[in-house]
This record gives sequence, C-alpha cells and structure tokens, in this order.
Amino acid sequence: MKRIVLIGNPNVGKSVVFTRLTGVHVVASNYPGTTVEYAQGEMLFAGERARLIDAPGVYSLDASSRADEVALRMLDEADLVINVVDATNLERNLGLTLELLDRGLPTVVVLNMWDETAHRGIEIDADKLAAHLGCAVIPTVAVTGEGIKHAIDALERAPDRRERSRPQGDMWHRIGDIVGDVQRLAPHHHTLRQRLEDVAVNPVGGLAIAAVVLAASFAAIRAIGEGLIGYVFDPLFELLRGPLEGLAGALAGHPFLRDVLIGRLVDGGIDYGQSFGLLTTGLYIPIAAVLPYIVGFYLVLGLLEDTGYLPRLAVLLDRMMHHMGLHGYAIVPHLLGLGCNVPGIMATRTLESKRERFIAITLISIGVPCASLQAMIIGLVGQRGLGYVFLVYGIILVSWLVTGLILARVIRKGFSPEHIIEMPPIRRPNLSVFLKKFWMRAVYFLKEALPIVLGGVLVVNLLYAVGLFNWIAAAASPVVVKLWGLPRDAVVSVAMGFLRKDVAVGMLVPLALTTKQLVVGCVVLAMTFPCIATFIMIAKELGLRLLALSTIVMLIAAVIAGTLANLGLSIFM
Amino acid sequence: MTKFSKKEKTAERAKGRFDRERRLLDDFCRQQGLHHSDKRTLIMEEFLASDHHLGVEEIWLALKGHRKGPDRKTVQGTMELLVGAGLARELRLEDGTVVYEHAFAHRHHDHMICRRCGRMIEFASPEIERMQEQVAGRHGFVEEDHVLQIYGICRSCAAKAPVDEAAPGDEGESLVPLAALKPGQKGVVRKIAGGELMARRLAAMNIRPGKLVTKVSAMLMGGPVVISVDGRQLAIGHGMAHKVLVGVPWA
Repeated sequence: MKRIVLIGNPNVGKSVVFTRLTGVHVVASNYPGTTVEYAQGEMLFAGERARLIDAPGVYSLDASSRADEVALRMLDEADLVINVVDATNLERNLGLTLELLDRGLPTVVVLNMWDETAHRGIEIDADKLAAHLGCAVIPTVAVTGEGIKHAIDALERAPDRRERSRPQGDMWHRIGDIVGDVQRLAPHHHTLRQRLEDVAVNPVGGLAIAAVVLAASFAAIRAIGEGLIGYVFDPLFELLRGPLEGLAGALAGHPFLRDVLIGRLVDGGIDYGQSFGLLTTGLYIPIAAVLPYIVGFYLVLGLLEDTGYLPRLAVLLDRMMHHMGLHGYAIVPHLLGLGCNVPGIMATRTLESKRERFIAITLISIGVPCASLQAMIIGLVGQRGLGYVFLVYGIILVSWLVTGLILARVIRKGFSPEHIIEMPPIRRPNLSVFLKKFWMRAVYFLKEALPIVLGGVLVVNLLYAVGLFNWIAAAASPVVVKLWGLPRDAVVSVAMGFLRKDVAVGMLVPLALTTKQLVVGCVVLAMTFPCIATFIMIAKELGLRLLALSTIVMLIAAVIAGTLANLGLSIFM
Repeated sequence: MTKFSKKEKTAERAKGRFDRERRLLDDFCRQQGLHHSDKRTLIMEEFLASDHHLGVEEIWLALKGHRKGPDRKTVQGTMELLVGAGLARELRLEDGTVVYEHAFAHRHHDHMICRRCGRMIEFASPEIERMQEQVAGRHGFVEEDHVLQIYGICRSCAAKAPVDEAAPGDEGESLVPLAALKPGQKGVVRKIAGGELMARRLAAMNIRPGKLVTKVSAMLMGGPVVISVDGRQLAIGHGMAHKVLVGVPWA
C-alpha cells in the first residue's frame, strides 16, 4: 500500500483536508516510541487503497522538536507528499514547502483557505507559483471540499525527482523572490476578527475574557455531564439493575466470584457507587460517572481549539505557569483534570519534557479536584455556608500553587523550553472536523481508560479482601486524629478516598463533624491519593518510580496542608 | 539500499574523525590534569556535529533538553578547553559576540560577515596571504597569526531591498529590542542577537531581518510578548523578545 504523508505548518487546515480525504477508517495513536499523537486513515489513490498519514504540524524540517522528528521519520517512509499551505500566509509556509521539494518525493502543494485570500486582499497566481516550485499547485477550500479532487489527480501525475539536482541559494531569499513574483497585496482594514484577536491577548482585557470563557466552559461541561448522567446513563444502569441482581442471586453459591463480579450488596441491592464489583462499580465509574464529563470536556475543548482561542489562553497564563516549572500550554491538562483527572493526566503527553510531565501530573492529582468530587464538596460544605466552600477551594488552590513553586525549584533536571507560539486566526469551527475529532478522542479514551479502571477495581477488591485497607487505616490514624483534628472514624473515609473520592467525602456525613473538621476533611481528601483510575493512569504515564515519588509529594503536601488548615482554623473557629 | 550504505559510510567517516578529535581532547585533558566528563563529551559532540559558527549560548540552548545538559559556565569552560586542545578556534566579532569554529584538520581561512543577516562566509585567498606576508616582511615583522574579518552586506541581502514598503530605511532609525516596543508600535527586524539556532527557529516563524513586525501586547511581569507579522499573531518568550532587535524611525 502506498503511503501518502499530509504535511504542513500548524493551523493550515491540514486536519480538514485529512477528514475530506479519508473515510471512517481513522485511527489516532501515538507515534511509536514517542508521545506525539497523529492520525492515519485510508483513501483511494490511483484506483488502489493507500494509507494517508496526517503528520504533526511543523514549521521546518530542522528536527528541533519532537514533532519535527516524527514528521521527518514519516517522510523517510513516505511514497508521496501532500503539502498543505495556508494561502493567506504564503511567505512563511513556503519555507517548509521548499524543504519538502528538496527531498524530491512526488509532491503536490495544496493552497488551502483559497476563499479567505479575497477577504484579506491577497491575490496569488497559482500557475506562476507552480512554475517557480516545479510542482503542481492546487487552490483548495478544504472546509467545502473545493479543489481536493484536483489535488489528488495532480498527485497521481506528480513526478519523482529524487535523482535531480537541487536549486541552490539562501532559502529565504528564494522565497522572497517567489512571493514577490506571484503574490499581490491590496491594503485592507482592521476587521472585527483582528480586533478580537488583539483584545484576547491584552494582559488585562484578555484575562477578563479568559475568566468569562472559563466560567462558561465549566457551566457547559457540568450541564452536559449532569444531563447525560441524569437522562441517559443512570436510566441505562437502572435497566441493568434487575439482570445484575439476578446474577448476584445465581452466584449465591460462589461468594468469591459474586464479590468480584457484583461486589457487596448495600441494603440488599446493588449500589453502583459502593458495591465495587467488576460489573457494577467497575462499569459504572468509567461509563456513567466519568464518560459524561469527558464528553462535555472534549466538546468544549474541541471548540476552544478549533476557534483558535486555546493558544491565547496559554499565552495569558504562561508567566504564572513558568513559576511552577511549566509553560502556558500546561493549562490544558489542568482544565481537563477538572472534569476527570484521568484524561487530564493523559493530556500531559503534549508537554515536551519528562520534568514538566511529572510536575503537571503531580499538581493535577494534588490540586485539581474532579467534577464528581467538586459536586460532593459543594453539596456537603455548602450546607454550612458558601463561604466555607470558597475556603476549601482557596486552601486547595494555595496548596497547588505552593507545591508547584517548590517542585519547580527542587526538580532541576530537564527544562522548560522557551516557546514561540503561533496564534491561529480566530475562526468559526468546521462542524464535521469538530465532530470527527471529538469521536476519535472519545473512542481513544474508552479504549485506554476502561481496561485500566476495570483492572483497578479488580485489584482493589482483592486488596480489600485480604485486609490491606484496615492496616492502612490503622497506620494513618495518628495523622488523621492528631494532626488533622478529625475523629478516629474518619480514617475509614480517608482510606476509602483511594477508591472513590466523592464516596469518601460522602462518608464524612454520618460522622457529625464540626464545620472546621469538615473543611479540613474535604481538603485532605481532595489532596491525598487520587482515585484508583487516576493512580493507575499515573503509573502508566510516569512509571512506578516516579509514581512513588509523586505519591510522596502528594502525602507530604496533604499532611502539611491539613495540619496547617487545622491549626489555622482552630484560631478562628 | 544504496542510500543507506552511503549514509552509513559517511557516518563511519565522521565517526573516525570524531574519534581522532576525541583522543586529542583526552590527551590534552590528561596533560592538564583534568578528568574527561560526560558533559564535556556532550558539548564536544554538539560542537563537532555542526558546520556552523556556534556561540556558547547556542550550544547551551541545543543541549538544554538533554538529561545531562550542562550549564553555560561548563559550555564556556569546555569551549576554552577545545580551543586549547586545538580543536576549536575562537572568533571575536565586531559586536563583541564570540563564536567558535572547527579547527582540527581545517586550513587557515578568513571570514566575511553580513551585517544584515549575520551570515558568515569563509574564504581563503592565497593572494591576500602572500600580500600580508610581504607587508609584514617589509616591516621586519614575523607573522604568527592574523584575523581578517570583512564586514558588509552579503550577495543575497544586497539583491533584496527590505520586503515591506512601510519599512523605514537604515538611516534615521534606532535599534531597540522587540520587547521594548510599545503596544501597537511597528518596527523592522534588523538583527537577531542570539545564536544561529535561535535565528533559524525565528526565521521559520517569519521573524527575520527585513520583516515588519507590530507589537500587540506583552503579558505582565516578564511574560510572553505577542507580536503580529503579516497579519499573524505570534507569542515569543520575553527572553527571546529581548534578542530580536528592530529598527524604529526617529520620532
């Protein structure tokens, strides 16, 4: 099968071209041996099936980043090249084009966003450009599909020039000559879109916009998540209740098997939150409790990405994140983590260095409470007054900040690279691309997370059966009682936090805690061990050694924060 | 298949030379009573792998991501060591920057340096060498070494006026770092005061001498600087924004 590589600068509509060319057989995966994600699919080329590979967006073939290296390796294995060029930014895009043409593979240049050029007063002579480059240049509007077929026809006729000599001379001067010859610019006015772009990166106005955008995002995510749970998944699992309870009865003679598959019966029935069987809680957590928020998050995140807003948010927060040893883009995994820590931790793969990944993952598991935990905190603490809810959030936020500041100073290995971030024009997202990306992400999440959660529940059930949790509870009780000022019974809840954070918070209810104890309890539960699914995800992403290190940081942070909160609040309450 | 074997052959040859160069450094270190650290090998590999004239900053930047990435001081020290061992030659340019070039198994040559794009062209002219010897001889002077740097505008820069019509001419403008522009102010990029590596990365993003840039905004407290080139917004780190020098017309 022929391998066709689709390559171009970031934000030139490459994914749209990819979506246009491929059918439903699309898989997203990490490039072997790297954490760079890419997609590949199949298409019809010259009457045969061919593999289309969507290379990561790169500005040059310098191999100066991991994305560049992956793109280079893909080119080494390619038979044909489709170079997607942003017609509204010809000069910059041509750098990569010339580098690609120098490699001599049969190449076609796709001059995308052709319709935009008119709005911006840009006039390009595509035939002249083709003459300069010595390869076919096809104007396209990928979002409508215009020109895509021509591009493929042209690719079939594209010559192989690997044996020819290369033009010499300084690349940027060649480009200057070409652009001067083929492109004409008419003056045009500042549009509303440009004004919006400018305001979005204003250090003051931009932060105000960011606050509004983030608040709206969370409202949307919660609405989508809770809507899906209430109207789709909970009713679905209610339907399953009958058959599962029947199964529990049938397995009455095999208590071990029943405990593993169904779990404990609460008040004579299945409690999806607390039974902890593979088929009950094991299925319920990833599908009915986490997936709905994932759906909401991926929808909102996709929207933020496709409108071009996300890089602007990253730039606004870059300075703050640098203090924590991260760069602005690390805000994305944090945002995801607020829905569910599992996809947040998966998203740290986009960060460049291991150091950043370790810091981000540790910070997420300490200072980013997931949606279901937040719901419990707001519900429970809110009864004592809204001010206390803010108190809990404030303490967690401060702990997050302080931990980050310390981690950035302690861990000096690795580096936080200084980035040049391109901010794509703010534009209206394309629906089919948006949906396809969402679908790919949702499937990817289910494939990655479902087995992990199921395995985790199984392991924890076994540990519970051998009494490990009682031992942990006994060991932890001095800290819980003396340092945190919580009653002895709260130990069980803390141990429970390892399984389900929200359930653990719920278990504080019957303890008749004072408001101070409740605040401290919620803080330490939010900061200690993440739930089992997150825990296993961290092990998968960082390895066991760094997981242990991350856990130690987490424990120290929780002990200190809980103790300080206990002592501090004792003065006032 | 042939392609691979050719690649391998080149790699082998390079390796052979590298081994010789490394032995040289080892001997030199032993003479000086220094131990040969992994960091030094790393720096040396980086330096020898490049055909460009590299500064300390560039080598440091290139190795920053490495697990054993050295600090600037180590790079500086190692480069001085390489100079001492006869593996590198130090070149001091008119603006005070210091770059290093390969010295082992490289003949004597001189440099032409483009003031606009910073490109360095190596040349060797037997006539000039002969004339220098003659001049020295007339003065009864025994020449040991000489440095000849010709500053000016390279062919490709000369062939091309600044790209943007709005660009102010060379006269009547002052050179300021991009970071120092006010929001909304325009300037034409004149010089990248970093190494070649940084210049290449910036050039790929359309920030290179001759380009008209507008500063859009800067985040507070030394955060990234947002600029606009050809109607596209780019954010660059504060440190980098200090190294991009732009010409702005006198007010």
